[in-house]
Amino acid sequence: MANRKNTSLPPDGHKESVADKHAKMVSAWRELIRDRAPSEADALGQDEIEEIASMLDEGYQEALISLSAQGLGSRLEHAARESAFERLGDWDELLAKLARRPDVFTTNATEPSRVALPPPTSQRSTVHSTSHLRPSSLPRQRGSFIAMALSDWFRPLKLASRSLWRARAVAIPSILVLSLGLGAAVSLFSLFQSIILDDLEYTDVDRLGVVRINALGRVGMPRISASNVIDFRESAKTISELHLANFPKHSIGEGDNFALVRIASVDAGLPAMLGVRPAMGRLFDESLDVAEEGVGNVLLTHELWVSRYSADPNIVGKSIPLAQKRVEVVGVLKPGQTLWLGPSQSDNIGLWSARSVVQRRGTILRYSAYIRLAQGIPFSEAGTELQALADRGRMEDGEEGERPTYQVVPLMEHLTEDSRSALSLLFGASVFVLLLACINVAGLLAARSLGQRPEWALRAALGASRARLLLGGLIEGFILAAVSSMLGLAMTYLFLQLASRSASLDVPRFQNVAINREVLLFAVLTTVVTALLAGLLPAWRASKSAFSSNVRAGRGGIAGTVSGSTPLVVAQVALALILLAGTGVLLRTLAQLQRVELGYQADQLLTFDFSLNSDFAGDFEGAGAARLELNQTIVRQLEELPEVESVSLTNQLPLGGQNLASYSFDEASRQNFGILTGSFHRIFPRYFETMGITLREGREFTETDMKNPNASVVVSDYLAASAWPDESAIGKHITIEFATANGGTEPRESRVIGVVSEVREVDLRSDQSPQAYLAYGENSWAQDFVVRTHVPPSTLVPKINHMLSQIGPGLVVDDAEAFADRVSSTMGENRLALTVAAAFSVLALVIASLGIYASMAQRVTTRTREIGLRTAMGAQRSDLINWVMQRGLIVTGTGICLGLLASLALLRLLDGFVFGVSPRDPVTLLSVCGLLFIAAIAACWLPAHRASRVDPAIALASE
Amino acid sequence: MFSPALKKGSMELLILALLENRDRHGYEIGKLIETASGGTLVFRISSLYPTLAKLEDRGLVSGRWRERAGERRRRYYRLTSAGRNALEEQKQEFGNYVNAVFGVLENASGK
Repeated sequence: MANRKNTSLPPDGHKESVADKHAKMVSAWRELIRDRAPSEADALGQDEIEEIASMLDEGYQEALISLSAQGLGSRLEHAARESAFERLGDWDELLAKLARRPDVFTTNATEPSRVALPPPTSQRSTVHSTSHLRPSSLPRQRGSFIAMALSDWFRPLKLASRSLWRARAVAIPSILVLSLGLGAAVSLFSLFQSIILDDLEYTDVDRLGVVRINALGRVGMPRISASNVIDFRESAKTISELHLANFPKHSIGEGDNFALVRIASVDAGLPAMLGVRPAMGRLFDESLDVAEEGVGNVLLTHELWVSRYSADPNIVGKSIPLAQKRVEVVGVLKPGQTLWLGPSQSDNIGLWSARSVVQRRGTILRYSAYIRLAQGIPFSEAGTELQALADRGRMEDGEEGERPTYQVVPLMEHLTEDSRSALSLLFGASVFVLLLACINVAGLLAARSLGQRPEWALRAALGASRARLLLGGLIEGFILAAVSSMLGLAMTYLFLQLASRSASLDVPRFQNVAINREVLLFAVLTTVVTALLAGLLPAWRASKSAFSSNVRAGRGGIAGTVSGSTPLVVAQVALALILLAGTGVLLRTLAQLQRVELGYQADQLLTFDFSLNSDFAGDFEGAGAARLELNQTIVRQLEELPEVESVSLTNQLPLGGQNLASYSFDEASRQNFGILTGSFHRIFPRYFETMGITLREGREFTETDMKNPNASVVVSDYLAASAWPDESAIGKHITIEFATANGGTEPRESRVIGVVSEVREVDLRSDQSPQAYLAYGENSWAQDFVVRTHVPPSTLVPKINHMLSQIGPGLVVDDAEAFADRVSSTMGENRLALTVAAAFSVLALVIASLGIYASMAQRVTTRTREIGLRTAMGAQRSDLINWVMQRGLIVTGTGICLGLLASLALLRLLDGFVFGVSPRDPVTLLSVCGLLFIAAIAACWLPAHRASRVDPAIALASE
Repeated sequence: MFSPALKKGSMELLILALLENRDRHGYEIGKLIETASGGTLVFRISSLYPTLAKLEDRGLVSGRWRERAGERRRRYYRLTSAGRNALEEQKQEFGNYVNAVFGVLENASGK
């Protein structure tokens, strides 16, 4: 007993004063009056009803005491109620007397509560028909019918709001939790809906598709052979149109006005096929606008028209400088109308330019093919037909080598496949957060309904219907959910604002994201479900116990409800664990990705391409000696710039796709290893030095190697180790089969002169693959310059551009990029997913901790008597703390176990997202369990501490 | 039992009288009338409350909700100065009336 010098206040629940208790009872009586005589009650003022209710309660309480000696048992309350009603006397008399007061039944401006309302004829007013007693109310009857209907409708709403306001200690946290949950779900739904579900603004989107060609040498790049295009257009019955597009960056403007703009270089018929309509001017005309070389006439997007041409109303027909050429503007598109054709076109397309690409059979075009299906044809059938046509074309052209496969994919699927799975996953996670929030709030409200118990029990005893009590709970749930969903929508708006400003978001169609009709509909639906889950459940349980026979004036049955809240806490812990585990795995994935050996140094590296003016292009277009010489000139002059440390050139940068070839070795190796498929690059001397790729053995290429570009080869250490595991690769021979322009292959034997470290080529997650480097020669085509510098890479661009214009009048920088940006953008989607997932799990952890805390606090409150008894019987403080902690940790432990089981099943969904770690990574799972356990200990500590300070004298007297 | 007219006439007087020396709440007034009359005058909310309300409307009493420590919230009534005058008047009137009645009764029995 010595440890209870501390005579602090009893726990919260017992601060309730006599006045509060009576107030609840009075409100129950008030309800009862309204229940029994709704029309009459409407005629009375608030004060009047309250005073009458207060008198009734005094009569009831008095009768309870005076009758308790008679041993009525369970009939005591009934008898007390009868006595109270006897005390009331006759309703009709009461109302008749009140009616004679001059001011009661007329409108009184200063006391709006005393507005008289006529009795609704439909209500059970036969017994208490009193309207004849109120002559002054008759003239108002008609006009106030609507007011009456509204008041009937609004009264429960008003009551529920008032009751929530009284319980704001519970209502405000509930609204916070719910609005976070709703905000999360609605935000993710808006992303999901706008990016994945919403149709493109094209005509008949269901019939638009992309031709996908999988073949050697064509991985990760838009390519199609001209022969295919000609054959498909002439013979395919399943498609009605086929058009090509690619997306280069070109210079727009001249001199100081110079800028690089992403353009869509398209067949003249593509805009019409998509169903795009211009706001000004016209679409492309095959005979007027198409250029055979470089760029043709253009359609401006609304955005470029505004930003660059100040929305010039006379722009149509004017000529503008584009890629060192003058082209005519034929039209301006409508606002927001853009070209959604590739999954990674996150740059905004500034303008569309008409070009005729297909000139002769046998060339490979760096273009993607878009089609419109013939009416009523499924995509698969079109794929089959294109495959057959392509096979026949190959036979006729006498091509050999690997057979490419053709597939036609719906445009929507093509656009969204990268973000679809990540967004689905995050949307799923947000639904979990919302569920967690609902369960939490249901728990909070259930705990609160304990406090309402005496009032409810009384109302039940007095004959209030259960439906009415449930309705009250439901309305409270709706109010909470509605307020929360407003806040949630505000959060969604903020989230979208923030996200749209985040530069690292590489999600196609992101500009499309908005709070639209579908999002609002979703918000309404989730609000309804939330209201049902969070409001009806506690109300149903409270009303059930209120109606059960063992409840008397609020005592008993409490323990049952506390244990009834246990499943809610268990569910919260389990849900939080699943979210935390998912985030943990993604976090480890990001850590692994950042640890990935790129194989090169991306910092301080600038990459660029150039483009040519058609007047200047001439001999330089495509491959050839002149082009090679031009490239060499550029490299030499770049080397002389003081900011530049080293310069080189490649036909294919890492993380940009792959040129594939098959490698085979001498006879012995061929038998041992078969044929390896890997990538190859054409490079200039000093490439490895410039990129920071480690040379393990041998040497780099020199100028001399470029004269005979296929004689020597540098291989990656992985390829060397696969082919010659126990000896040096230097001096060995490899046969490389290149894809040729017409789709066949051509074997060439080369001698290994060097071995370099492995490079991540496709993306950061890709597995090791064989890589080979050959010298860049006359027949090589495509170039990306790589420049290592000690200044910020992008600051070099104007200088290089100036330098290029000195070399040739039509030469400008194209596609300039700091290479580090390219590396980090390949992690972009991971980052987004991770940031959102991390936010969700922090939320989940907080909500679950709050749930544990609330449940334990409630338990301590409702068991104050028991705690007092234990203390009185000599329990020590530590015993009491243990008693509460134990209980809390058992509940948490159960939740953790269930959560673990669910996680093991659900984390499999992360298979496509993880890297370098198992989706069911035991380290992550264990840490997450530990984290939850710590949170649970923290959440239980306060209630446990409070339990240890309960004064037995107060506790035992409290009920 | 008393006739309604009599009760009605006396009810106002009783309420005013009970409020003469201290403020009281409605239920207390009813109970006091009931106990002091030895149960002869049974109080009903349906008659007490409208009477109180009418007295208030006429400015003879003023009611105020009050919360006291350890007590429920109740509406307490206080006699206004007009109420005090009315009480004096009614006492006088009732006394005169009772005297008159007794006078008649005595006369009748004295015959």
